[in-house]
Amino acid sequence: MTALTNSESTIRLVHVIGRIIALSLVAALMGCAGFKNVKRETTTPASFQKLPESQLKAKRDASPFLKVHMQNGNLYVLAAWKMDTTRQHVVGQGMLFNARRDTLRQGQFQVGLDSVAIFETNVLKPSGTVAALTVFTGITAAMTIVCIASPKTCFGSCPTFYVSDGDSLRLQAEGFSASIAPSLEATDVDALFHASAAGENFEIEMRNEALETHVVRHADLLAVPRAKGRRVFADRDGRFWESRSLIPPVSAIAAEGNCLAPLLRADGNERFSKADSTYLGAKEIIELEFENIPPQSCGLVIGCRQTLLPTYLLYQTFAYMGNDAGYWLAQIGRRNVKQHQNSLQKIMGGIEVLFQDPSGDWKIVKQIYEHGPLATDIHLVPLGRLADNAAKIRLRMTKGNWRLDYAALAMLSQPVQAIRLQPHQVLKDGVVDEQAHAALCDSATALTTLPGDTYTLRYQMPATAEAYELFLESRGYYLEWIRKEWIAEENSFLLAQMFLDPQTALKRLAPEFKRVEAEMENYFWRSRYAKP
Amino acid sequence: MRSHNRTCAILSLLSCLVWGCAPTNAPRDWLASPEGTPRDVRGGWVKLQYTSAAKAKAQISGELIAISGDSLFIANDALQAIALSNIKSAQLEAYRSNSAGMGGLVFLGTLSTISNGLLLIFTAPVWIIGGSIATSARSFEPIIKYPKQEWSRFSPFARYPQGLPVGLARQQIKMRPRK
Repeated sequence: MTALTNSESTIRLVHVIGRIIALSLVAALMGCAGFKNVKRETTTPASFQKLPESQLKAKRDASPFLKVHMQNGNLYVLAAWKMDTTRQHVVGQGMLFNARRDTLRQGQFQVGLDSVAIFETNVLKPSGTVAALTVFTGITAAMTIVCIASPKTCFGSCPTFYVSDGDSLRLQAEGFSASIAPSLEATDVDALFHASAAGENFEIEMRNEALETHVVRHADLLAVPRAKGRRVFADRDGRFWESRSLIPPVSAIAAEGNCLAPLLRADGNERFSKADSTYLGAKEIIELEFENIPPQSCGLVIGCRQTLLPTYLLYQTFAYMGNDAGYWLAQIGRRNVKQHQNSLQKIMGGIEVLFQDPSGDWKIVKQIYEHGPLATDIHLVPLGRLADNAAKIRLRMTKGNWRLDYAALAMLSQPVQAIRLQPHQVLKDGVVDEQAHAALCDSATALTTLPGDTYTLRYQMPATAEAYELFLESRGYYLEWIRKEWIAEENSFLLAQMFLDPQTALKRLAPEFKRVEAEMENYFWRSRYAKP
Repeated sequence: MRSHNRTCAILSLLSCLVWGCAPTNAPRDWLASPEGTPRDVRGGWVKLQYTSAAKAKAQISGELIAISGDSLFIANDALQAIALSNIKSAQLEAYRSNSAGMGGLVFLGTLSTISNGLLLIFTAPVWIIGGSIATSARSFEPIIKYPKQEWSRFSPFARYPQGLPVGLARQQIKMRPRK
């Protein structure tokens, strides 16, 4: 076991050294490190005297030193040189040498053109060979970045559902993100908060954009009737609540200060923080303050999605499983490691909603938990009737683990019932696919999709779609395709640490994650799988 | 540092063995760096080969002092005037190429590909082959050769680019080593 750890440390050390060397090379080449060429020009005094001021200035800028070769063999080397106004002398600061090149004098000189034999300028230009080495360094650096970035930043996590927002197709939901094995098959309800629908037909595009096999048991539309101008939210227990009105927070205080602005609208402008650099499980708090709350039953509405930190940890776990990933996933399937797996989940946690009790202590009311880094989901935490017309609510979460898009207090009326709608037609690549339709409508079967597959699910609304708040209920699981790059990191000791001692694992992985954190989002979205 | 220099020199030598580098003829520390050249007061280092009919001694090298219409002046222990017609070939080194330093960078670049994992099977050869070509090319950049190039290309790098000054006591002109 020790040998494995040492070997891994050595490989990492070698990689770090390689990166340091690459960076040093970039620095050396940026400075050209003595790889310049000298373009030397000689000019007679007569020609020099006739040069227009603009050309003289260009020469002076390009060649800070002027050598003045005298007819008697003496030589002036002048810095900060210029022609005087009469154009009969060259003036500058420098040194005078005799014909044998002994130093005669140094200081300020005024040299008459009539005794000059020739002027010499030297212009330094970068060598073309440096450009070649720069290209090689660029290739090496690019490969290094790919090696750093790609193994655990590839696009992944479950089926993606696209719905029109009235303008274009928009990613509005991701199904059962935590269901990475058949035994973890789960049902997921996502709000289609930005769906824009009119008429009695409604379409959802379901895609497999990752190197994964998706097994979709069903993808039903839940249509909840609502009064005009009102919104409906779902709580964690699967109940739907109609909201009379929404009250925005008056402040949202986090470590960086007031982060209210991004939380006022569900517009994709998100508040998020960076993970802790020493412990990936470190927590942070955002304190929301609400005023003018009517004496009615209310609930906290939060729009959020996960960052790529959980995805990174999941993929890192797969990497440690390496060639034994199948075995370990089977163990998870048999729920033999469920408890341990949850312990890592527990530390990372969801978004805890805390309310101050009369004694002033902060108590956890509920936890918002939504897996997946792709689509923002809207959650409701019912709070009941508040004692005061002003309230402070704290959100406690793991640093760098969540992206918050929206926060508001919803005034709730009563729970409402949803109408379940199965797709009435399913199309694959624009062609009606009866088999896929049958698979999604029969609870005993499932639709299996592969990377690049896209299905259009059509629903028949009971009345015009505008009269409903829409939710998508999907059920199924997915299987990650183990990437070749991951197998290289197989390590049963570190795998065991992920399950049995996640705190230590989260400390150990912190520096590694911080190295890729800034670019992860970018690489993740760029690595979406699309059929060629 | 000495070990680093030796490594650079070995790598540079290897590159040159494969691709061919310009051998340097100048004494150690004679040539200025490119950055030092604009302030250097001496001529470049020239090595001449006489025509077979001209002299028993096949070649001579020293500081390029001047080139006049029909003669080239070169200084080592003493100033010598050589008729251009007696010169078969000449090679002038105008400044230091630092190709050994570039060989060192190529060596480091090749080492840096260890950060590429298995992809180094592509990136390491790029460095070894491309870097060797670049090192070889760099070694030739400060060199001017006759008869490939005209004598007029040599003159600016002479101690007296204007030609030998009239009335100068020739016996006083010697190669001037760097202090």
